[in-house]
Amino acid sequence: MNILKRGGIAILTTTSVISLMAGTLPTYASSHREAPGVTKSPKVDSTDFYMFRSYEPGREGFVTLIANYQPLQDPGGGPNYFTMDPDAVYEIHVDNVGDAKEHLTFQFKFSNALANDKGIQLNIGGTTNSIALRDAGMISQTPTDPNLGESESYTLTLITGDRRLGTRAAVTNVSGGGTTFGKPFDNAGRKTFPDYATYASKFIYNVAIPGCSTAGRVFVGQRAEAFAVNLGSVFDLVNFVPIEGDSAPGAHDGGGFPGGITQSRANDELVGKKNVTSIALEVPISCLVGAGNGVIGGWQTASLPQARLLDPSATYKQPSVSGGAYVQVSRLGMPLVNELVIGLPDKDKFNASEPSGDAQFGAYVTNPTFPAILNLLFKAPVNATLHTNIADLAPNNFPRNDLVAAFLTGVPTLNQLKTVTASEMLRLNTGVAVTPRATQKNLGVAGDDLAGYPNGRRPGDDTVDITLRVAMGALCYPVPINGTPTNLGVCTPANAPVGNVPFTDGAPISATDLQNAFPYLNTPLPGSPLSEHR
Amino acid sequence: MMLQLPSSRLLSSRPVFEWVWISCAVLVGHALLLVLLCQMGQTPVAPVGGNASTEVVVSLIATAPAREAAVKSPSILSLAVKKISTSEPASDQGLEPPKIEPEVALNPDNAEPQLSAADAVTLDQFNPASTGAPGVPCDLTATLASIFAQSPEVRQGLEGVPTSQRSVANAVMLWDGHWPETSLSGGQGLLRALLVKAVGHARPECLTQTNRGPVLFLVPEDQTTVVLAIGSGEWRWGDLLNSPVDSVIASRNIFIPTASVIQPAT
Repeated sequence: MNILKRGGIAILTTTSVISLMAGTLPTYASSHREAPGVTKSPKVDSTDFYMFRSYEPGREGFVTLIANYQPLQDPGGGPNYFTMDPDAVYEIHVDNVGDAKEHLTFQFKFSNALANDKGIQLNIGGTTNSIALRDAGMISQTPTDPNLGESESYTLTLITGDRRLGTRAAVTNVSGGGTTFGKPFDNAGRKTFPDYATYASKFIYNVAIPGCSTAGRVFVGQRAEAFAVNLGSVFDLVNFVPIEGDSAPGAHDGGGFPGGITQSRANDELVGKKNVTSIALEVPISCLVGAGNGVIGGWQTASLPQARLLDPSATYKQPSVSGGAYVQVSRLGMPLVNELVIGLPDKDKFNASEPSGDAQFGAYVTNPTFPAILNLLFKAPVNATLHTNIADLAPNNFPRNDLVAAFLTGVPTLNQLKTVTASEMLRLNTGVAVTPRATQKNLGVAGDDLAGYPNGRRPGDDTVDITLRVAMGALCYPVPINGTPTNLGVCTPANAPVGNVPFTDGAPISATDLQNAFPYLNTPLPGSPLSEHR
Repeated sequence: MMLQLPSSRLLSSRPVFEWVWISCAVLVGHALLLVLLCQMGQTPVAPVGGNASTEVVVSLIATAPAREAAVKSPSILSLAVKKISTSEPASDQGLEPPKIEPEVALNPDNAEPQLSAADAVTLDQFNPASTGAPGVPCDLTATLASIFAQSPEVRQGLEGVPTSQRSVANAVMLWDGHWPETSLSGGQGLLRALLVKAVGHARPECLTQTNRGPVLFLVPEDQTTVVLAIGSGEWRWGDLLNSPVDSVIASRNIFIPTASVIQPAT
């Protein structure tokens, strides 16, 4: 190697560090790979946030919050599968005042450890070597299972006030008072885990939450995806007719829109095919609502240190060096906002932002582009099919106060906080009664179920269909309350030519597809046999 | 911890001029770093979390307060709302009738609820709070919500509302511009009478306040909560004091019509 080349390497090395740092400084980056920046950091990519009154029988006095991360997990993604990022902090924030600031933050911090600092070792011809895999045999016990060479654990801290400056207190295990909790190994397959559900259930902890007289529960681990979406076809210029093709979902009579898509799991890109990592927390309602009106706003984030330096002498314990204040790289409250509402130039900015600064994104809600895209794609075929002459399928009430109510302020007396600050977060009225799983309506409030989305979000709420319809003006038409068509008073049918059309992506989900107990999302799909996730 | 960068490993057993060249290259790189830091021109922030070994790195590269990464002079989001005259009679502010209209017929008698003797006593015992002295701003919605949340008489009325008259989320539509036929008797009849009595106690100026969309009252009931829904479109509390009764309310999900409802807007 000549000296010029060597000198070049020196410059390159130094400038690469600079580039790395420069790239890390504004680490903007979050739903399923929805922003350019976060695609570089899948471990901290927020995918779905759920917040609802627990509908597990006997737990109605609690709210369950589920923050999902790491999208598109192939169940067979071994040998390392999907650990969390030890450098990151994963957080669930709650605003119980209405000022668009967090007043409670549940902060999760992860770490990995090799058994005896070496993992599983084997004596090969007189030489002891660590094996290349995380496990070497059937696993049935908690992190101490002798066949598991690497364990993952986490701490949970409750922060009251500002997430970085507020008062910190550890959430502890009711059994023994410990502050460290185990995370189950991902579902490698049926041979490793003959009974993964039982194994994972051992990682549900009863926890003492500071300042809270009743214990809550926590679970962190892999779960089966519950976000039903016709992902590939939606982003292929909506490569299907997104209107219900049956007279009613699942009727199988072809009596709906001519050529319209019908409900089928085969239309789904995620449910039954992919896994995700869930942080699930169950907290007594009384410990969340503060002095407000019983409505809480919630959102999830992930943050990384400002800088990460690659270490050429990397070790297991320190593959890189990280430092600096935490920079938020992922944010998620209401589903699909950053995916379909925020413009491409601002997606990473949105991920790095906080609800209190959402005024800067207001125009994306008041004057949305997504309905206009659907108009571009479908106006001609809709008019041709129906022999109509609709000039524009998109609603024309600007500003879109219907969307402002749904996404930014909450609906008065339903899920509006005591103080109203326009900001994007999931809002839940904890006073609305729980709807049991068997009778939940997957269209939520629009389906005559006030306990559903957008009054919070349950795993069985079909938020893709709801969002499609609301975007196209469904709230300009009466919605049913106790069977009575009720005018919300935010716009009129004249504003939304197709606001009463049953838009759908054909990928269904409902509460009965999911389990009826904490953590609600189903046992993750096993890595093998292939037939279980293909 | 001191970082062992590849460049430092190359510095052994090399000719002097090669050392000089590599050192210059490293200096150039660091100069670029310095320029970058100067351009940032902001005070480094203290590390939060992490361990002590990272602090050296932090002092070199933490150039911008994390909390300010996305804060950009936020302005107040203007939520333009169409102003509605409160002097006009209640209407749906130009709302076209929904394409699927429940079959509704109005009871010409504007029938009053037929209360049982016990319910009549309950109604008599119901003494809603005052809405304040004349001239004091009134928020009748908040006042009524508080009254309904605390009233034992209201809870007694709810006991008489069967599950079949509630939604899956335990909501009861009490008045949507018309009284439902189910309000002519039973629990809904008592609730209707209680509501009318409470509204009737309000000062006249409180009755003309405009509401848009339904108002939801949460009322505790045993271990759960009932949502009482009142109103639809644009309306005023005074409207329900002289309101007709629907003889038939078609209960159906009007949100999922068939494709046949798609019609041109004009």
